[in-house]
Amino acid sequence: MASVRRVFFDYWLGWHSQSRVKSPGTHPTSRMITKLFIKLCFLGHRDALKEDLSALENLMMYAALGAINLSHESALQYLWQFGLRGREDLPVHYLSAGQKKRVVLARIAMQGAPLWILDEPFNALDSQGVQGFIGLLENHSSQGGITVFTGHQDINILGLKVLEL
Amino acid sequence: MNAFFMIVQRDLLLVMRRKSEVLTALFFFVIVTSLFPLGIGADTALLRKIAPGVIWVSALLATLLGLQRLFASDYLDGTLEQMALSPRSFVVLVLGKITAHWVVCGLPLLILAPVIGLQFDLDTAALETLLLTLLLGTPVLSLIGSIGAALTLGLRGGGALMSLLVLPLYIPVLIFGAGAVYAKSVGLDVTGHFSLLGALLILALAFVPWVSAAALRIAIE
Amino acid sequence: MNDLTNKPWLNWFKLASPSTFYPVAGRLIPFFWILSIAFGLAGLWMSFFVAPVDAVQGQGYRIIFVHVPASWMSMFLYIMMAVWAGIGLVFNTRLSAMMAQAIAPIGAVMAFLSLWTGAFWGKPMWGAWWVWDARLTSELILFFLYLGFIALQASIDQARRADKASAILALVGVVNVPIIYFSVKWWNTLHQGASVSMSKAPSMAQTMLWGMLLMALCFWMYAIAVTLMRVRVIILERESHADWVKQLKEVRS
Repeated sequence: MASVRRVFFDYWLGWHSQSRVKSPGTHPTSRMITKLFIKLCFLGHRDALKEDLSALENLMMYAALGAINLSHESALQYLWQFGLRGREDLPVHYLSAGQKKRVVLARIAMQGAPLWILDEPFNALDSQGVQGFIGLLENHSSQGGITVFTGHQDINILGLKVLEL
Repeated sequence: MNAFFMIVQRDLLLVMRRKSEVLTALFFFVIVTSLFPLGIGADTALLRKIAPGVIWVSALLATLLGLQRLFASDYLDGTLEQMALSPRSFVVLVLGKITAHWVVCGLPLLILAPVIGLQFDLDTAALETLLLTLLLGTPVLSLIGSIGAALTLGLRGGGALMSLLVLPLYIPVLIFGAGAVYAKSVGLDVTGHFSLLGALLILALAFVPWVSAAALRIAIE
Repeated sequence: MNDLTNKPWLNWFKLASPSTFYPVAGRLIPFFWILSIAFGLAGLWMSFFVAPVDAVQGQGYRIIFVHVPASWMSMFLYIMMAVWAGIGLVFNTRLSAMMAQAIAPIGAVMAFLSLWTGAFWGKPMWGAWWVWDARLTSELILFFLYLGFIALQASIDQARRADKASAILALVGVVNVPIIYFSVKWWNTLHQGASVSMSKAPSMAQTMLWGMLLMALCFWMYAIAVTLMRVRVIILERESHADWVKQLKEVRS
């Protein structure tokens, strides 16, 4: 029974140990919330994709939610970057689990937040998807971002800190 | 505001892709109103008298049916959580969802109600009043109902529990709405009823989105 | 160790901790039972022996000495429940939420009692077990509000989520109670089919008023006593993992 390893990716030294999302129940002001959440991209256990909407529509929805100006073309670019050419307009429930995960990766890339907190992002990804994701992570950190993610696999990324729980 | 329209548009789009869920609530409304004459008898005078109450109660029940879907699907696939974590105001997003719910559940009632009213032999003045009270009242129903939906999110036995929580809160709307139509049909003044319905609408619009957003955060945590 | 256990009344905030409150509540309970019985005896004596026979309603009216205090208490307890729930929500204190949880069934019982005694009063007076009079109808709705609160708490497994969700429900309810009462009164005057006009109580003899007040005090003391007993049980249930609970005499036996 493999224990879960929590992996820290820590280039940004100024960051405190806020690996947990600040609970909304502590009533911060709305400006503080906006400032905090705009820096955060969170992926929970579920994909958080609307099954009845297409991959493209999902991406546009997340752009609007994240207060990002996303053009049609850029959205398509993100999807193609993760190998979803030809599948942008299908309702998500037609996609395979691996393809759904790649839509999620496209969304994470699109949001461009500095802090990523991802729960088991490697689930359901095939080897090509894993490579793509690792590339995404390395790109993120080279731009000064932080990723906190959990996983069961052995990953080899530059600058990784592993915490075994 | 952009977020508000986006959410309304998104929810309407989702409903369009799954039309059957919506139509069932509307057919429910029609069927329930037809049950009363079948149960009570076809005496026209009696039907005219009970019509406002019957139509309003059926509208309440049909709204309740629709409310169960209000937050459930977003909660189940994780998008509700994402909305709560987005930099947009969660209150505005919740208001957007409630508005979309009203467009899908409340507006069709407005269209069907005159038809049902004719089945109950209501005269034109009463039909007009019925429409106006439903116009003011159904948004309040969607708003207050969203509190119940938010509180019972993800619970077993959610639907029945939500009805128990929400129906007592619906009673003032029912009283003023149905009461206005009855008053009009016996020739009494209805301005009081409408002022109170309007007041309820304003109160609900002012407070309910915050309450529902708070209840949703409690359910998501 | 809590060095203020000897003098808990010096520091009210310490009482917010379940472990401090538990013994204090335990000591207060007999005191309130005694008060309740004392007021009850005095009230019943007044209502049965001192208050005169009513000119219109005969002896049967005496049930109001239970009906009216029960109604008052059902409304008062709902407000108290909402207050405690609100405090628990704002200050995030578990004990306040436990108090709301403790009060709820007692309030529901008061509402139920009020409805039944109302019916027993109604049958000989108006010839019907139930009339849709404004106050009885509002009382019925209040009963539903209590049931909703209890049902919501019962269906949520996680204790803190149950506390906060039911707190929101109680606060929404308490705001709605005046609206509901007003709308029901309106509805009642509009549909004056209900022939009984309960709006004007006959000017009451002093003794009748005293009887009702004494019985109200009796019910109030009773409610406090039972609330404290219930909150102690709730504390034991919810804090059962804590050391201080495991050390208690009643838990170890």
